[in-house]
Amino acid sequence: MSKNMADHMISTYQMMSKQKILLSHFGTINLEITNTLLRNLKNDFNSFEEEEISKKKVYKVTVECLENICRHADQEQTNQPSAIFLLGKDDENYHVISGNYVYNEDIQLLKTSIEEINHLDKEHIKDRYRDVLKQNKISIKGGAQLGIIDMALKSGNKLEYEFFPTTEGVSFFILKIQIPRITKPSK
Amino acid sequence: MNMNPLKIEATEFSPTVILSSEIPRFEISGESRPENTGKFYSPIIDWLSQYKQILSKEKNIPASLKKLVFEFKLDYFNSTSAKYIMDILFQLDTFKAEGLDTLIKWHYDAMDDDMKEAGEEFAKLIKSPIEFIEK
Repeated sequence: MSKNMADHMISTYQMMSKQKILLSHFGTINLEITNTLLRNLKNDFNSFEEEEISKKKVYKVTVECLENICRHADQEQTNQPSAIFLLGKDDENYHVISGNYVYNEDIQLLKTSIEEINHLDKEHIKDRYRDVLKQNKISIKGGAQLGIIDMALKSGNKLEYEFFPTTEGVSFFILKIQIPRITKPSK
Repeated sequence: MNMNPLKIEATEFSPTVILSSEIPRFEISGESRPENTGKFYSPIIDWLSQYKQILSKEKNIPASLKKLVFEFKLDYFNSTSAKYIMDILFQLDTFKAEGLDTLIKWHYDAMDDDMKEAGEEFAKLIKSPIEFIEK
């Protein structure tokens, strides 16, 4: 782990320790683990008084985040399968944080996809969403992009991310998404 | 007009599917996050294309089947499923050529603006009308 990344992890941990943690996972994230995490999240949501609207949004963003990691894990046989997933909340927001290893050659594409969406307002993100949906066949890039678009739409926030170079050719990709706690429908 | 109905039982992460020209009822409901999305949705797409073929050979389509109402009662669908829902909707658009009127009923939870908005985005891409139903 590079020094930068260690610092980052410590500050993330400090931030998260001020919140109530709803889900946390360190290690391999595959489909089976994704299912378990989502099952736990559903159970938690059923037993706690949470805002209905936020619950759905949090669930959706969590799915996309975890499935994105699974997709990467399938495609990229990196020797470092470890990933992280954290879901916490404070008084105003839910915080979804995920981290996984990616090959350096994939960074540019990922960066461009996120940046493109981060620079658009909601209506233009929807335009982009329709553009991808109507394509005959969705490429791997398109598939990943739908997930990114979905997370941006559901959270209503910019996606924060960072890449930390680790061993040769591989970096650790951290994605942070904030979802406001809302109690009333917007319309 | 003989066509075996397609019924798929829901699992924890995949929806209930009922496609039946006998009742008639065409519906997908529940949560859509199947393990293999392509594998889950291909029998649905295949069923619809076979149904369309049968209709194209039929000279006198009974009045009860002239209008095809397809209901989506989804609590949740992931972004991969969105692509397949799009495929179903595009395919339903082609039923018009066989003399059928298609109507999509898009059910959504009153607390779920995102589900309503997703339906509105699909509506912008297809020709069939979509009726929004709040539950």
